Amino acid sequence: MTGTTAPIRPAQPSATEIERRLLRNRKYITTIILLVAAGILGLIVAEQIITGWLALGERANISRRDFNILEIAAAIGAALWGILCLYSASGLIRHPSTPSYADYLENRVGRTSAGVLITLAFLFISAVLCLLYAEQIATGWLALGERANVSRRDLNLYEIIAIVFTGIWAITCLRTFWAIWKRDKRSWPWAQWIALLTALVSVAVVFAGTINIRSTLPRSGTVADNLPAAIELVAPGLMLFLAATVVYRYLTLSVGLSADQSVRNQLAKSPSAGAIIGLVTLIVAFSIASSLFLEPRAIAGALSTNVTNGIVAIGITLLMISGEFDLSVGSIFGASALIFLLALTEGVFGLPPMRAIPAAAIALLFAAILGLINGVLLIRTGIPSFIVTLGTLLAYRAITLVALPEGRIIRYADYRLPDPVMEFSPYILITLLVLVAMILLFLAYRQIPHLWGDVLSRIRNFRENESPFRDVQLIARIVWSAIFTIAIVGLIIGCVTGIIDLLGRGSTNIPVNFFDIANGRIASLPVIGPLDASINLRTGVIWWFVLVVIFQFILNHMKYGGYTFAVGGNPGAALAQGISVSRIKITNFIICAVLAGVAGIAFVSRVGSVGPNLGEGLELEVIAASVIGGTLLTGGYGSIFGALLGVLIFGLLRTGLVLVGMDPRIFYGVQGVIIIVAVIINTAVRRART
Amino acid sequence: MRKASRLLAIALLILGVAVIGIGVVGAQDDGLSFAIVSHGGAGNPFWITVIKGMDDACALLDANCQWLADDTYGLEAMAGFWDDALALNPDGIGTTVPDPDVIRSGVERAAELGLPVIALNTADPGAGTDAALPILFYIGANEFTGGVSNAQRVFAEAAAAGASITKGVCTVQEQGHSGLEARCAGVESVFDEMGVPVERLNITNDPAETAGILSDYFAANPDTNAIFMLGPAPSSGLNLYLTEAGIEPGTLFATSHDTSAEIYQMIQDGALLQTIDQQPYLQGFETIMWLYLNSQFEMAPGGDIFTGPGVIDSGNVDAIIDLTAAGYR
Repeated sequence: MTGTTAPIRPAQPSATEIERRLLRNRKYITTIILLVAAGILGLIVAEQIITGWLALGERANISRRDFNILEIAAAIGAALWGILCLYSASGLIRHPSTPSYADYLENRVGRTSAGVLITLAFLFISAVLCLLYAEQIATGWLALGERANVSRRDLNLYEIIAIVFTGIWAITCLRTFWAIWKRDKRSWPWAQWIALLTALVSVAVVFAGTINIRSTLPRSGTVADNLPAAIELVAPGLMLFLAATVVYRYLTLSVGLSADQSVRNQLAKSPSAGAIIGLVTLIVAFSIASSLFLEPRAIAGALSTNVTNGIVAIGITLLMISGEFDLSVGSIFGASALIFLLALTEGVFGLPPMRAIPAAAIALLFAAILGLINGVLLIRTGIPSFIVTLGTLLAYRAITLVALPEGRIIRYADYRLPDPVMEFSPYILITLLVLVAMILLFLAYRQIPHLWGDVLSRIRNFRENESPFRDVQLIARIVWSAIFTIAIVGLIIGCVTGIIDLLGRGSTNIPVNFFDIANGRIASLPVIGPLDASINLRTGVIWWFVLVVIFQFILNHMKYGGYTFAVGGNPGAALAQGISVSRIKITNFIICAVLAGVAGIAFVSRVGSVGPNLGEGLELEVIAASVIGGTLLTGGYGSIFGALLGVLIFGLLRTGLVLVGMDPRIFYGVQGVIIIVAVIINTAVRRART
Repeated sequence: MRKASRLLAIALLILGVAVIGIGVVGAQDDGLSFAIVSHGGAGNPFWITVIKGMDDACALLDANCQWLADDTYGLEAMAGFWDDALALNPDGIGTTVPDPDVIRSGVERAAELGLPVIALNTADPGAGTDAALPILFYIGANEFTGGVSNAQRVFAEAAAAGASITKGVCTVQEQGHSGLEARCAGVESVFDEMGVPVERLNITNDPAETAGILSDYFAANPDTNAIFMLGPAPSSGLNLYLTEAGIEPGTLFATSHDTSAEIYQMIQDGALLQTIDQQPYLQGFETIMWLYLNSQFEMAPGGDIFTGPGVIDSGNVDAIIDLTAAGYR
């Protein structure tokens, strides 16, 4: 059919038609649902606070008389919030084309527009509640009329920290409130941050509440028997979460503002944003759920237990960034622990029993050879690393299975040997200390003037700085510079006093127990003093953190790190630039294996025994920790610091679940959910970057 | 280079075929032959002793015997090993039964062939019901009575010391293992009778991780003063925890199952009251002996043969240590 048909232009839709279409839009519908839910929850919370969380049907209308001021404020705030949310929802239904935040900043709408009103109310209520919370901690949760202004004298450290934090938070909320009132563009990222962090904390509160529901139940009861307690534990957190989400949604509706001010863009600057968010949520949740969680003994225990996982995770992360991974680390870990223990006691490879340092060197060399085999197999055959290292996982396991006499667990204690003691001439130690002090001095000379110069120039140019975060950046720089300076000066002083101390001892050799150095118990800390017997902090934790810092430095500030990223991100392009892809990959396999060996030595130094199955299942745990820390399985992206956070998340999760007395059978379930959630957050954040 | 590697591969192939061939030829003997299928093997000290029992019995009978199992722990792999066992055309088969359904088809085929099958170490949980496997009888420890013995010892020792048990905890290192669950069930039956609360705690086979979990557990539950470990690696974790937390022997009433050098030392130190030995050597030895007696002379005992619970405590631990060194315990 020929002939021209003019394209039919649809008739210009009328204003009501546009509104009707908007109303059908999913985004608006979810916003309305959120608002209604937040409103109803707010009213329920207010009512429950006033009636004292009575069970359903228990004379629910009797009001209490022993309120403290926080409860009154919370009730009023929640009620106001509920009404405001329902009002906004009805407004949205009547006029779907609600103006965005950018409209408000450009003076096109007034302050009574629903979204602005909700944001302002959210900030104000948060600030008031925070201030009252701090006040209540300080005065000891008194009911109204009971001399509320008397401050307590028996505050513990955590209470003081809580007061300081809530105080800072309240000031931030009020400052942002003022900026929004003045239509200041800088209020945008600030309000987003506040909404996001409030949402996180409220998720933690809900999590903690859910954990504690069980403890409020009678032995054979179900949740339905004790619904009010369940509501009391979960509803406030849920309300806070909905409130924060509503505000965050409203703030991100506006598109007219510069993208790099959005929270997502700020988060995308760090590969481990998901892990940081997860760790903060976890810590807040468990410290609410169990008063034992923030005790030093629990934290120290979690750190000491995860030294081996943490050290292995460093290597695996480096390897994953270069685009490969190694399933055989568990077997290498077991094998090198065995070689180390045997070298100390019976001797290996036809050598007689030896001292600690040669034994450790042999174990590490052995691990390096196993890593080299992995790498060479991979490069020469081109088989995917999953298959190659699955094979070596099984093959290397045979080492411990075959070598252990009759497959028994061998123990250092069974050989009735004294702990391996190394004797050092004091002059060697003095030379070492002088060397360390010189390196520190050089670092101080290079970095300190630079850091403080930066701080000074920021102070000078404070007025001209357009960034909304100029004050936070300035404070962060000052704090970092101060910590760096104090740490460097402290270390130098430590070196100097050590040298003086050694000089005073004369020339007798100084005995050092190798096990204590590698992974012994730390009896006292420099500033804090002697540790209580229940606190089990091991020197291995120090080595773990030092290794994290070293490898993070290599990755981010040295050529080798850049090559690693390039090889993992785009091997073709790396090759074209003259980087030897295979050499980098093989080196990373070796580093990964050697770190597994280091972990093996740390394990033997603490536990003193090796069984044939040592390290089974380790590989998946550390790969999961790296992935949670933001490292991509496909390579080219990630960070060592993220792996540290990933290991900490797993360790603290187990500690927390045991402390709250939850059935540890669900541990794997929770672990799985955390992996998936963390990866979802990581991907969402990373999308903002690309 | 490529040629060389190809040659190498071919050489390896020939070598493999030769080794397997020699093995098969060696196995084709006219004498008796027996096989035992298990869920664990040479990777675990416990099974080494069972295998020694099997080997000693076979040496006495001049029979060919095969231990068919995953080196460490493999439940699902047992189905395949049962096929291998039947392919060896033996005179009788012993098997562990951690999960009857995994090995059901193999056991039924053996019954059709008229081969005697004896369960060792872990009994058929369906025994006596319609779902029972066609198995002659069971040779092994009674896990439940082992748990009962441990719990009774703990209450007796506490009473003798003038203390009382306020709360107990039974630690499980392999989730879903029916034998371990039965040990805990035995403990719980005694605690329920005494009206004392007892709970379960999941730990791992890694001593350092177990020590961390125990440290957290005792921080949250300071009133617990009885603990039941179910194996050597868990006991190693308990020992690490006790040493690092500086807990004196005698304040915590603890027992274990199975044996290891460390468990013996803990008994000598007073950190463990007793351990339950299921006499693994007997399980391997008697299984072969009864397979021989049944296949040749149609003999059978009047019921299951219990190799445990045998109690090891400070009274007999020194004698046991010597026997362990010889591989019998």
